[in-house]
Amino acid sequence: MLRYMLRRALWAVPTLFGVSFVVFLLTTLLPDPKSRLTEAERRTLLAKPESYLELEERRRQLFLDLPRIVNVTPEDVRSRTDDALDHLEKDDEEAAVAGATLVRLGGAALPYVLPHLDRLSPEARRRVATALLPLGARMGLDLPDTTVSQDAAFLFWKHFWDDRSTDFTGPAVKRNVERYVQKATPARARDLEMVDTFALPALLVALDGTKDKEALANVTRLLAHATQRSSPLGVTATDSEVARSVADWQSWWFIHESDFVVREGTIRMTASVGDTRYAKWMTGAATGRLGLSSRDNEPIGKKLASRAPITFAMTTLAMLLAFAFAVPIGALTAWKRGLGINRTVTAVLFTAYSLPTFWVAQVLFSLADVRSYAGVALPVVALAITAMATLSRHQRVSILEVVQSDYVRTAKAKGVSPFRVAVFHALRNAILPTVTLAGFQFPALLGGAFVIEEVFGIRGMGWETLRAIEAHDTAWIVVTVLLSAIVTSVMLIASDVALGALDPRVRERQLRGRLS
Amino acid sequence: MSGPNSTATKRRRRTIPGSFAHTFDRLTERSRARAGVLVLSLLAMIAIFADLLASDFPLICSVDGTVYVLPAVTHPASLTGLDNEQIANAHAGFAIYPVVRHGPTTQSADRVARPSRGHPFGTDGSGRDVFAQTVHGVRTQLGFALLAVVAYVTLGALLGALAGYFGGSFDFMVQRLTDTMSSMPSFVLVLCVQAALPHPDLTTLFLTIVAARFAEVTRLVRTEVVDVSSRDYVVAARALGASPLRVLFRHVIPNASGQAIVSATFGLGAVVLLEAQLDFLRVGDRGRYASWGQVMSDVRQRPEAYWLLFFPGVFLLVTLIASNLVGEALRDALDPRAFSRKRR
Repeated sequence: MLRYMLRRALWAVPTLFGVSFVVFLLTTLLPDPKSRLTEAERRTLLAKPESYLELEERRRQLFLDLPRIVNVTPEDVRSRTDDALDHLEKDDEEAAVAGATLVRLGGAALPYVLPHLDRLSPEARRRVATALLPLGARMGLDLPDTTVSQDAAFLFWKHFWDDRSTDFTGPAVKRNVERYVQKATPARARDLEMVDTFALPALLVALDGTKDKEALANVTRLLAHATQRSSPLGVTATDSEVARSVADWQSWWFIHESDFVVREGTIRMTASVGDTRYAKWMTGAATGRLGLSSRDNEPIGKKLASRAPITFAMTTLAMLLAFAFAVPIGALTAWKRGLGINRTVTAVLFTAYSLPTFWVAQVLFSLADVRSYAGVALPVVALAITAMATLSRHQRVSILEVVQSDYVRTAKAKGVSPFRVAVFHALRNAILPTVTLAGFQFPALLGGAFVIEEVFGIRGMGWETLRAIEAHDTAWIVVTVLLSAIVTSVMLIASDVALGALDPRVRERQLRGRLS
Repeated sequence: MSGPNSTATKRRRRTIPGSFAHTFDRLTERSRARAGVLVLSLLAMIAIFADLLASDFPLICSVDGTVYVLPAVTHPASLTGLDNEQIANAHAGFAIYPVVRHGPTTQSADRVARPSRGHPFGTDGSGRDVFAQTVHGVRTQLGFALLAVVAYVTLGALLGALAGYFGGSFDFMVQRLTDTMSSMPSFVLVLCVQAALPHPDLTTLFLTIVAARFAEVTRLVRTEVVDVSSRDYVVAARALGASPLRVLFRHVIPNASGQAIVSATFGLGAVVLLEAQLDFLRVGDRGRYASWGQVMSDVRQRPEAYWLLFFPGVFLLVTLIASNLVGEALRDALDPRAFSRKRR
């Protein structure tokens, strides 16, 4: 049995992979803010580097800068720097943005800029050196007076590199960060501020490696300084604030890693698969980095934890309720087939089977006072009606089949009491197909629950989804599809396994290895 | 196989042939399907002749000496901007009016009005006539559902037939695809896709429904085709040298299409329901076409306006019942052992 369960679970893997792919395609329906720009708008944006970079940043949050499935040319800090230098050298329309990009890349880019300055033409290196000056200010250097000589900025950076290039090496920075985490003296902080973003990879490693609140606060201070992003943690930060800040920096790094690290050899090869929209999205979803809801900036994971139990509890209750009524109703209508009332019951069941759930819900909602005692049960009742009718009808059919079987006739002929025949011989065998059907009912119930939540104002997943629709909150919508697909697959597997566990004939077939 | 054990024969045996009860039993067995077909054709008639029942314009009228026939359909330029009232008041001449003198999208001043002579089903939240919306809704809802069903059943049946007939890696891929698509609850999927789209409209809804529902048909047809492909007449056709495609389209598909037809009949109701639900939740574009769900959604602002919920709801329920009746009858007719057939 365990083997069968494992095999079913294994078969679910490609299915879930497919689901993830479909859901991923859903995310690509998002409009790309850049593609909607007109040529004129693009030009004005290029003239204002801050707003251009802001737009880029928004796209990166959605991984829109990455190709969908395969990344033939994964970017790293070197390629980005070369690209920016290229634009600055040509002094084309993107030069202003390129300058701002260099400053954003910061210290991590310097090893690929400063040694090459000599090779550039005098005008080009002047432009590059001047563009880098804001970075110098951030690093806390004494800036030269550019009014004295045209080449002051260039000479300043040249001297800087002659003096400081040894600081821009991985091991040196790593050692500095380790010492800084142990004891954050101003001098050590100063050293790390000097190398700017070059220290980011080591700082992120430190962020993972330590639990000490003070050290974490210090590290986030350096991170915030180098990236000019968000406020660092205060000394009085609570534990949850620290945790949130760490998670925030990790997800930031998840998006921006390629700006600050060099990729070579095998790492570069992995990046061609890993640095794609699909891979990023999948890793994000798998590691619980579901992002923020664009509606109210709450983490999706937290929202899900508060909404999903409501919906699933409602669905489960409705399923149990449907079962509790369907089995006796189905059994009675089948067993007492001759009764005249049967035709009425069958007709009622057929109508209930066709009833639109949302309509029932709305009618019940209009008729009853929701705040009353009965009002609490109404959503579940509304949800259960269709499922109950479906299950009853199937129960009836399977009992009719069993009643005509040989073993029931034998039991009757033996003189077993009618009650015993009905319950132990007939019902026990006839209930099995109904159990399987429960799994298949689940998707319909889930859909019904979404509508019912809206009608009754229950704050479950459906309610949240409809709010998300109004706000175009794709992050939530995507998670909803993903979760409901996962739960549905699990339910299908569970009902198959349950049937196997209850019915030896089915179990044998399952173990023999035929899946369908 | 089927004969002595089947429920139908057993039940018939209990009543004396020729007796009233026997006839009644046989009649009910058939009359269910007949009732379903009757209701569906009635709905189709309403859909086709919706303009005769409710329209902004008279059926035939003479305005300023010119006679117009069915101006609501032909949209003559000289009548634009006019409505029934103005034609009746301002212009001499005769006119034959539809049952209700309001179109499905025209908004009148009295909102959420009770049923009255002018508005037999009342008006909705934006002053549109509920009768007109219900009647024209039959056209839009059934028409849309029919298109969607035809599209997804064709796609699903083709995929299933090819997969089941040719097998191999293509079959494997199709099976994984159907597994994938059927593990997503179709309503949740359609709702979410419509929500994620920047400009949801009927075309995207159509495509989403096709994508969300074809897998079910594919699975049914595939199983059936695998079964049929090993039958003697298929083997015989192959032995006679018929090309694979000829065998598939002449022998396999016609014999395996029963499941697809049954699924299509049930699907008609399911798609109508799905669309009504979406409209009820106000997802997608609103107000440009008559829809039952839209009318019903107005009841959430005005809970006392029972007519908003009742009339379109009854039409929806009748459609669903009819589609289920026909579907079940077809299933029983096509497969005498349908009672014992379970999914998978």
